[in-house]
Amino acid sequence: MEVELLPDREPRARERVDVATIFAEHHVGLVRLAVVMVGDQATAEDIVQEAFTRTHAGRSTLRDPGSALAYVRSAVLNGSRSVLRRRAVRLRRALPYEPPVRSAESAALVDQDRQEVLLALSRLPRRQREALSLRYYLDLSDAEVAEVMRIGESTVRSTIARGLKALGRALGENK
Amino acid sequence: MNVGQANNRVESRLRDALAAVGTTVEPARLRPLIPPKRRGFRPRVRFVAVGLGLALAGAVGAVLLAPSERETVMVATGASSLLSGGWTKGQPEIAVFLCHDGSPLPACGAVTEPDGGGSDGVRPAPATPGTGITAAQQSELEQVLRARPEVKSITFEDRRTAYANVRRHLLDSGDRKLADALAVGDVPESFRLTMKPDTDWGAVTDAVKDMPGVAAVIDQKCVAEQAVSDRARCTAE
Repeated sequence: MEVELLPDREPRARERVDVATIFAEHHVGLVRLAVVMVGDQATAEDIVQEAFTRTHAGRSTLRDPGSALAYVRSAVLNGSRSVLRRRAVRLRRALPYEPPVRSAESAALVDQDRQEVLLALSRLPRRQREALSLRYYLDLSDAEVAEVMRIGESTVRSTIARGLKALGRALGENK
Repeated sequence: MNVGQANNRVESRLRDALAAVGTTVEPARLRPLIPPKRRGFRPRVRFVAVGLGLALAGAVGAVLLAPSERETVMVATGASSLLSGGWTKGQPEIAVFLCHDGSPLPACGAVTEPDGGGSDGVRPAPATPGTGITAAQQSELEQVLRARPEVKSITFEDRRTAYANVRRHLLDSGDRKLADALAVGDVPESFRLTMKPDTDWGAVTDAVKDMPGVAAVIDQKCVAEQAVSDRARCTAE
């Protein structure tokens, strides 16, 4: 029986990739991406868990191993967007906007100067903020950013250029 | 300072700040990912009323669905052992479930195609569904039950209460998906009998199980006390 199964299994393993495996292998990286997006680890972990559950419920394997990572990163990005949207609604009604990365342990690692950069980043429009984070945190190429954000490559290039310019202005770098 | 230099400086500050954020996540302290209990399970399936009643008794095979939904059927029958834990001391011991319109049970007049599956605990959808108990039948049943010397007291459980009870039990068992899949009307109405100890409960079951409009009689105390494999004998259909 096993002899029969093996030749069948191997090509399948090549063309499809297990969702659970992708998440397990990239768990830390995905949480870090979410932290970069939303600023605190507890929320970031929830976002990744939620993305995992959703992806898992939809299908157990992904057809194209090459874009599997982009696919789960997209899922995490989407989750982060929802969180930020909900927060924005809440904050508009009550508190002034808080910069991301505000837990005590993060504050120790992320000093004043970095906080300033992150605050300026968080004030950019969503698309610029996401494109800059994917480029300068994950070092993704234009094509890779485009795939994760599901926008065109030329849009990625112009968005990043505009984002950098706006960030420079906010940080007083290009007077 | 020209634009290129300014951009470089912004880029490096941004890179540095983002990297610092990334390092705040300690791999060792991450909560592990919890996989969903069942892959691809979506609670789009309706439980058939008496099916769940029987699932309460732990009798396998009562949940009936189309064969294409078999994956979900297995979830449903798997829950029977969870559901059967519902009885505790002090609650009515015997449940007499009533037929409802559309019932799949032969006891309610449903006719099933002879070759319509029926393996591994899945019943085929009936060709002709059964009919509900009439008001006259229900009142006659109640009179018979009240006349029995073994019965101490009788309560009637309507659909809403039945639904609420089963749902609560599912939630207590942590089976949220099943609880959410459950709808009012999925659990049939029943008479709940509190029995006198040391009397012949089987005589009561025998007296009413073949009456018109009776879907099933379940001795819930028996279900709670028996091993899963022996629970079928607590049920009379």
